[in-house]
Amino acid sequence: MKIQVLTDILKANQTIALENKKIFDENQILVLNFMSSPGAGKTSILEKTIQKLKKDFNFAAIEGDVATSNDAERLVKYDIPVVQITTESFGGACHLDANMVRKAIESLDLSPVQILFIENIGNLICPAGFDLGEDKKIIVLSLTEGEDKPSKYPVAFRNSDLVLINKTDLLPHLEIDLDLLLQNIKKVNPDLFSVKLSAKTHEGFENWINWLVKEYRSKI
Amino acid sequence: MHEMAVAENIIKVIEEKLKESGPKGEVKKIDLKIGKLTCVEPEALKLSFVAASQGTPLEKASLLIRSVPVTGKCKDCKKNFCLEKLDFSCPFCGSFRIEIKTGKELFIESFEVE
Repeated sequence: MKIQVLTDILKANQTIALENKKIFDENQILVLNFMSSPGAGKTSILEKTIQKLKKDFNFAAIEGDVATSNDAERLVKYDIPVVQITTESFGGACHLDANMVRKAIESLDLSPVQILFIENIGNLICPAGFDLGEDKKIIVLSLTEGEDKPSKYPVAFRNSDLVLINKTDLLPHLEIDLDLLLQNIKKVNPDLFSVKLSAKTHEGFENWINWLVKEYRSKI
Repeated sequence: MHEMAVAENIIKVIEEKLKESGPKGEVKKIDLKIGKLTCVEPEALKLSFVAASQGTPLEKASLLIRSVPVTGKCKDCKKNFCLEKLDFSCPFCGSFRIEIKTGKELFIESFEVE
């Protein structure tokens, strides 16, 4: 017997993502999903951002990794609520899904939170396919990764709202062609806004902070 | 390896359908429609499915995967096209202002129960 279903395989994830979004909206929280390759500097950018804006906003963070709580430990130092998700218990999954985020927010007191950072697992493939209930998706791309990452991982770049090009302090030491990198980004997603910055020297941070504050204000 | 997550979701969806509509028995075949933009690798999905379906009524099911090409329409020259490579530009006029029509599908179309 043949049974017609025509069901979206990721419908379950999508349903939970929409529920998460509703919870975030009701609590007036701007939620940002950070994606990148391992080592691009997601956690460093979050550390510097929290340092700079701690007086103005109440932050919280959800940290996704396959194993260890190293990243959560780095953020806890700034006295913000942090939940670490390790996907070891989910079979070492390479991405966060909406249900993992749901479980994480159950252990957070959301009422004082204004901006929630979700740091996805370091990987430019799978995280792009799973909505979490976030307002915006952000890609962190470091200059050491080369010009061709947007062309190699186009789906992640097409699904994102902002790309933070990190480690600009290394530019004098690298052979990377920054113009070519920007062209490659425009090719896969002409609408993707990009900000060049360095989490080490803080160069370019004001543009990222302006974007963040503007997003928060337009949401609330 | 998000193929494992996709395989687990396929099993979840079909087990629910079996509970709802009640045909009892083993699932023999599952028809899937998978877009090229989903980054789901058919062979990896089949392998993940074998592992994830053990002990369920789906463990003997074979996956029939229909791949959906990436198609789009150019916002400038208005032509429709199929993208062979994921370079996201119009093959006719070279514009990057394109609208993606298909390629994001991740659907179970039907399944067969014996």
